[in-house]
Amino acid sequence: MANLRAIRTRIRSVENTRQITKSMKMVAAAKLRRTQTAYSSLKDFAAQAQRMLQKVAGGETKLPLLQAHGQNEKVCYVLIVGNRGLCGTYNSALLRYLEELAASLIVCGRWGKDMIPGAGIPIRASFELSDAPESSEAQVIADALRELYTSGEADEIVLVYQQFKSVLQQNPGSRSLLPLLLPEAEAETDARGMIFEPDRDSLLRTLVDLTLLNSVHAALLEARTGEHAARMTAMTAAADNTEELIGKLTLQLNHARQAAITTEISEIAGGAEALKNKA
Amino acid sequence: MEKLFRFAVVTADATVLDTRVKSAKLPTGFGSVGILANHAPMLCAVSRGIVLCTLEDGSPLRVRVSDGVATVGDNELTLLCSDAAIIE
Repeated sequence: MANLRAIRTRIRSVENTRQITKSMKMVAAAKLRRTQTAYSSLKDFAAQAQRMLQKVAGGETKLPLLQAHGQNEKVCYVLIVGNRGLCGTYNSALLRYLEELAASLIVCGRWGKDMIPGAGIPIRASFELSDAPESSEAQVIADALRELYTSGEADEIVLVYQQFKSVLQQNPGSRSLLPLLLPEAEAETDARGMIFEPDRDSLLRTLVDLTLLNSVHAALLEARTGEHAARMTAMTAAADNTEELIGKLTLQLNHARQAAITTEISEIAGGAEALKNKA
Repeated sequence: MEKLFRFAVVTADATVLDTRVKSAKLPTGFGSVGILANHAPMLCAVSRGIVLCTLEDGSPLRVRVSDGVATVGDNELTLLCSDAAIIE
């Protein structure tokens, strides 16, 4: 039977762990709310930009971001992972998914920057991200990817990240970013009579850049939303486990205490009996 | 009574302004573009600067905007830009 002091120390330590996991769960929940709000605002913004793009789409264009390169050999993957661990299989599932693709890699997120070189996958470039990525952070990445594509260093750029389905479910997946695919042009009757200032081509260029930025920003926010959700779920499970463990340890403590009392009583009773026999 | 139209300024983070106005003047690379109610459908590149609009009660409102794109149609003006703030 473990001694009482050791069990009490263990209970205190598990209680501390419970407090930490509960705090981490609350922090993750607050961050999740923030990124979800930002993600839904961005979706509205991106939908409006897409509608505008539909108005200028159609007809021939020579914009480099819309041109597919002849050969499609140099595929560059942009991996968006978490900043930290303690979020269940969120990061490791992405790594497993990536192993099947294994190619030129750009990493966004501190965890990936620290862990991926150890896994033997070469990194082309890496970017640090905040917990709720802002438009300016997405702009830096979008500019780098645009440069990579237009210089011909990559024939295709694919985003790899955990796609957010619900708080309990995120699936590793990939989405082609460049070359950009234009949406179906609006019916000619709607576009007719539309005034373009200064001209259709400049507007198309501006809107394509905006769409690229929105796509990167949306992927970053979706990935971060998933990370906070995964961490919240993992911490909820951890907090529940500590509760269970505390229950078990308390029972063990009570057994040990009871055993100690029983031993003490039988010793006293045995001593009294011995004294009586002596007398 | 002057006719009104809906004017919205939207950024990736939030809708900065969504109100009914009498007129709006947008800064562009080729000068200011004035918009009144029932303007012809238009798509316009907007430059960084100040958008000046006249509200329903006749008071002026100024909005600082970054580079963006504005669209006019169905008596609505929507301006998309990366950054915008109402000047008090």
